[in-house]
Amino acid sequence: MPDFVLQIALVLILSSSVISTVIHNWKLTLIALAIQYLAMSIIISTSVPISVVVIKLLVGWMCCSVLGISCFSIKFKDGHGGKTIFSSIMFRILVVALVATIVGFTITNVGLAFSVSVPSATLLAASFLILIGLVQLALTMEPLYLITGLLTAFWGFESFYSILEVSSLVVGLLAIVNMGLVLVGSYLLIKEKADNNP
Amino acid sequence: MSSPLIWIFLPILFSVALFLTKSKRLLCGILGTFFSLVLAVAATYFPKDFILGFGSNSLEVKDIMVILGRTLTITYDNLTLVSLIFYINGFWNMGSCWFKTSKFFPAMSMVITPLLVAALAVEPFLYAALFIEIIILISIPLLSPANEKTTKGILRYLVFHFLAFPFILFAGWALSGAETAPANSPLINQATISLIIGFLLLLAIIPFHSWLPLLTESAHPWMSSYFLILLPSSLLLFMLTFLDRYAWLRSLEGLYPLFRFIGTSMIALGGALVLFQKNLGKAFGYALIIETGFSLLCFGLNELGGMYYFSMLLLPRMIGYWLWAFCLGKIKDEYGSLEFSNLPALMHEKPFLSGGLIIAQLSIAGIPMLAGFPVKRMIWFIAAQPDLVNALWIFLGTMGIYIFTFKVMVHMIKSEDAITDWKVTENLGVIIPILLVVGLTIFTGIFPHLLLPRFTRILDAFPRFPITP
Repeated sequence: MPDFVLQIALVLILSSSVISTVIHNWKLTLIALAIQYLAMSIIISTSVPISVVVIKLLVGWMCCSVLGISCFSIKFKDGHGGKTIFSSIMFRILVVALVATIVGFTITNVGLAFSVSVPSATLLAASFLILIGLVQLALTMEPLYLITGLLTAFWGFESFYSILEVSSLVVGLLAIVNMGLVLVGSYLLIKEKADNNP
Repeated sequence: MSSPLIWIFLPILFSVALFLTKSKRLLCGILGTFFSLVLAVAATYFPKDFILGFGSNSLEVKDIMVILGRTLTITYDNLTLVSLIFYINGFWNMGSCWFKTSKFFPAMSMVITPLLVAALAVEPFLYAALFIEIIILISIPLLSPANEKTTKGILRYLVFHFLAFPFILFAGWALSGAETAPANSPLINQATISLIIGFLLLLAIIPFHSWLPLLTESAHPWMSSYFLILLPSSLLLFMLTFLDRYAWLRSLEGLYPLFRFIGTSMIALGGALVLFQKNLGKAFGYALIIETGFSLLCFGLNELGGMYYFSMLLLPRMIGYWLWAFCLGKIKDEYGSLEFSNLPALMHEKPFLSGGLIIAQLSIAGIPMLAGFPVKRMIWFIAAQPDLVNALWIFLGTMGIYIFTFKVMVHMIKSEDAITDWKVTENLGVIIPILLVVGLTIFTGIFPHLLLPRFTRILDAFPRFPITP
């Protein structure tokens, strides 16, 4: 695959992560998550069979759709009426910058040793997604954003893990776990709506 | 016919039947109890190399079942462990008849239990992490039913368990590579670190414990106790599988002192934190942390026979949790809260519930004559052998539960109004199970040799793990 495609995919991951971390808007967050699934699939397609990549991408997009449908059905509203406080935006941008710096420095200078060779672009993107997912988890207690944070972190891990473990049964079970998480997320969202409007 | 078919697939089939009868709550609970106890008793008394003869035909029950190239293995040595899991499921299903918990509980519990058995039986065991994760996801609707608010505790429970999952998966992969790797391979360090972080998150080991008290504070005590006895016990046995399988892992320098340190810290900190609790549910959570601490301490005291005490601790713990959760559940159903400030002087009107609660706490703390004492006493003795300071910290941690129980007792007896007459407002349906379990607690405390040694058979499933008393 040409280098510039990988670079575009990396830029897409970075920008979608910034959007989903900084802006608290459920539509943008879900679109950003879908972009992350696409970009990461492009990156791992250099080392994983294309059939597995397509399955993972479809599962990811299905996760986004299920969450989106749940949000639509309950007319989900973000906290603060969808507005975000300026200082909060600045803080989140700084956190994303810090994560990007740490990941960039670690992967390019320290490196990680695995018995299977993992391309540096995959390692870079996966580590970034894992850390960004953790940051998102740390910054919220709202079920929707917790689930998207978990999906982001898990997608980072899964894309890296798919190079190490090539079993198709594992791919299937991971798809079940992803869908299960999203269903639990939808359940919590719908339940919360019912709690607020008894 | 194979043993995985009996103890994994048959219960899942039963769960369909239970799902169909879910609207009849009592019937569903009774059927769930019946199915679980039948499977538990079958596992307890199942003969070795069982062959059923029909005239000239014979039916052999095999240990192994192959599905999609992966094997599920339940040998004769694993059956004590399987029976314990089904006994827990049975007794918690029985208790669910007294509570208005989720109507799906009996059906879902018959999926959760075989999945746990499958997690302990699957080869290669990296799939076990996937089964455990599915159990965690199934548990969410049971712990946080549709008519209750989503709390911080349930969200943290989900997040912490989900974060542990990649570490266990990665460790599973690294361990399979480490089997053939040279001693200085980076895989060994990666596997060890992943395993440690994964289990730190899964077992609510301090400082990753915050979800546990929050969960027990908000979730129904019956549901939280079910998951918090089943999951940590199975996860500890899952950890034992790793230690049994990999010689390099169990011979790691500093592994047993690390177990002792973590165990002692959990007992001491759990004891210190339980002391200041003003919510009975939260205190239950801290008691669970202390119990996990005792289990890890037993792992660390392996060379002194600690694993025997780990296995013998399972029954007293099950009895104690059952009684504790039953009383808490009834109190929560009656008063809607477990905060001290919302509870009256219970001893004056509900002497059996409050008495049962206090006996359960004292049994878990390890007071003489109750179920927890015989094993805890032995752990205290052997814990002092490698390091006397360990024993001091354990003593201080245990004192935490004693003092908290004393506080509960004072709160339940003390009343601002002058109550002159004491009355019993519980009905027989509540009094009888409490009295039976209190009786069992005292019986186990006085005659431990009649019941507890049977549980050491659980260790037969781990033949390579050195247990040297």
